[in-house]
Amino acid sequence: MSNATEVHEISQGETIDGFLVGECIHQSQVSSLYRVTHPEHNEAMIMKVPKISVLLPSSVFAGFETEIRILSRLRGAYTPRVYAKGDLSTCPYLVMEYVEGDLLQQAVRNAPVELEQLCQLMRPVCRAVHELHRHNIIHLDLKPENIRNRDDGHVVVIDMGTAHHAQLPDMYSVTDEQQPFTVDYVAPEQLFGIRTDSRSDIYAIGVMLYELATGKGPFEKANLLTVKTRLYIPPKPPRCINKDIPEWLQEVILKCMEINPENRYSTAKEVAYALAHPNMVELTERATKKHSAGPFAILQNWLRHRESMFVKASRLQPYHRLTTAQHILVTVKLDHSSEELRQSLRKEMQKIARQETDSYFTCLSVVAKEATGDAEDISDFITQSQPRHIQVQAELRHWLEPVKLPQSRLNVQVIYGDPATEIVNYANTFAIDHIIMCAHRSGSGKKVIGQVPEKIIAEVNCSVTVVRTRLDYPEQ
Amino acid sequence: MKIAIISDIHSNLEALQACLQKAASLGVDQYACLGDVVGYGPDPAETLETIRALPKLVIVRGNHEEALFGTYYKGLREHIRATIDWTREQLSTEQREYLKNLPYQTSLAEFHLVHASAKNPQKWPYVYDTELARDCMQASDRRLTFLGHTHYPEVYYEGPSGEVLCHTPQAGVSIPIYTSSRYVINVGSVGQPRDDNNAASFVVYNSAEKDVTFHRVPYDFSITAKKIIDRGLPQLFAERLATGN
Repeated sequence: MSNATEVHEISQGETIDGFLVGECIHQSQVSSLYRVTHPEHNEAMIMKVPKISVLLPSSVFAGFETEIRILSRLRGAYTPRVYAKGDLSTCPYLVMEYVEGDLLQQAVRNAPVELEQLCQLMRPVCRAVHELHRHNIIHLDLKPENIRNRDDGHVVVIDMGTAHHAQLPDMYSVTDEQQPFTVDYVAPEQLFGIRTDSRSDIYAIGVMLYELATGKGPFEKANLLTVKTRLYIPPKPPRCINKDIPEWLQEVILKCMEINPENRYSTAKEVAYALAHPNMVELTERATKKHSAGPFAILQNWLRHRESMFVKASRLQPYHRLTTAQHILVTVKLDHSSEELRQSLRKEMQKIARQETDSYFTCLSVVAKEATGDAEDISDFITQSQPRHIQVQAELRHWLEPVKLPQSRLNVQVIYGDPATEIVNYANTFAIDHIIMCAHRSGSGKKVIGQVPEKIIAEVNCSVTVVRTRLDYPEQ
Repeated sequence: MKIAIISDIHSNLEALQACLQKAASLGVDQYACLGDVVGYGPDPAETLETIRALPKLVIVRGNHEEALFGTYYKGLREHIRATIDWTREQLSTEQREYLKNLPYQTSLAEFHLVHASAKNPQKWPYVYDTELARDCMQASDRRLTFLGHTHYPEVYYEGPSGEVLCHTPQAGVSIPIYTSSRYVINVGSVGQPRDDNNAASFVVYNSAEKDVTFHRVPYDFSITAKKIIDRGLPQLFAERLATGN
């Protein structure tokens, strides 16, 4: 602010634009958080008020403006909803939803946590981060304190003050030494001032997974003096600390925390998917690492991981990076499709797999409940359902063999239930980018694509390709 | 209030009309023109009259207006000088008088308007890097300055550390104007874009939201190009409308 004396700093007891300023719930060097009420809003709300002082660096106010501008552009699904903002030059404030839950912070305090709890906690976090990236926003300060939960458990990411929006002027340059970060969670490239790589957030996700799995931080006693050691010393393998951690989880954590961003997961939703489908995780030498890196490996890293490596890492806006690692859902109903139709479906998969080399596929077959056998009572149903499930998986794998995709790019799933409902749920849960499905021609020829595809097309939040066989042309 | 800021129209009536149509659809209340209404293009008189008719118009002088009358003319290359001579003939005495009296720069409540730079505007310097943008920022009497002249849409702004940074804007994305920062915004060119994008460029400042949005408007440049050739103006001026550089 150019002239601090003209700016009003709000305090407890005042009424500003109808908001009654209540108890101060948090004070930091740069801002205060007050509970507020308003006669027209019943929701729990907080008011963030920046500290107005000529002694504070101007980045403080810029951070506050960034937060307002970014939150105002989002609809508040994964970020706090914005209710009001004050004139920034006279009475700056931001009233937003108060998201009280701190499940992740509590879990980290009580870590190590059970595997199931870890997955349940972190999958929605990854999904929320994915949604930020989809809006071209890189958070750059992800940590348990910034992950909150609504009453229904829904994850909300807070504190956008240091975030980068790829389509807007960024307040920090590469050489800027005022760039803020949290030493425990900062990605190596951020130490060189690089703020444009969405995989910096993947690194922070890796650190949180590490803490939950081991109860310790990956870099003990991280501080401003030691923070740069992460440029060449990889974290101690989590299984060295907690032997109960499965290999696949160590693989996921260490992949998130790769020093070179090019070697990490491309997208946060891939991490969410891995946490939901451990079988899909391709185990590399990361999974079985038993020791911290030796002096030779550290020296090698030190020589290799120079600033140029981070600068060279592919620069893509977050949204475009998401499109390079598309998750394709292929839906198949084996007993209702002709060989010709299946062949068309495989061709479509091969085409995408070739063009989009980072894409990965889930082949999903939904078995209707009534199709699980002629069960007369519930025990028959249970005993028959299991083999059916395995049989369909085996058939799918056999059928998909000619597509020649490695295990890491192809998962096969069989789900029981109503096909359209289950496919829609699956696509929305895992943020599927594209669905390829078959259209079965009905005997009458009246239905254009069939009820199931119609419902899926209407209800999913992604593109859908409908594969069909061609009819013979009628004679002219 | 929404204010459309146009610059470097260069007698391109088709590009101007396309931009004005877009601006009207966005509910623009006021117009500002940063000069170079004429030069290069085939319709100087019609372009000028269209601009003069815009609501609450604020307009400053460009180097091509200056070339019609001043000493700036002598420093120009021959083919540009020939076009300036031709342009002068197309304008009425009253129109010439109007252009002659335009100021080099002016300020509204929230921003400053100039064709080239707020530093030495009468010398027509080009603001094409962060150092030149800083000079302009320091000479400007507002935190937000709009300019043209280079035909490149750019946003120069001051980071919290005081360093001037540059951002290449994306059309249709609103750019917040921070209270804590200073800005020099090049609005690009309506009539002769040079950033490898042949669509006409202009910006809209929204004073309620405190943001600026760049707009790129495609138009049928072949009509303008044909007129340039038909009127015996240099072919190069027709060609660059197609390539946008």
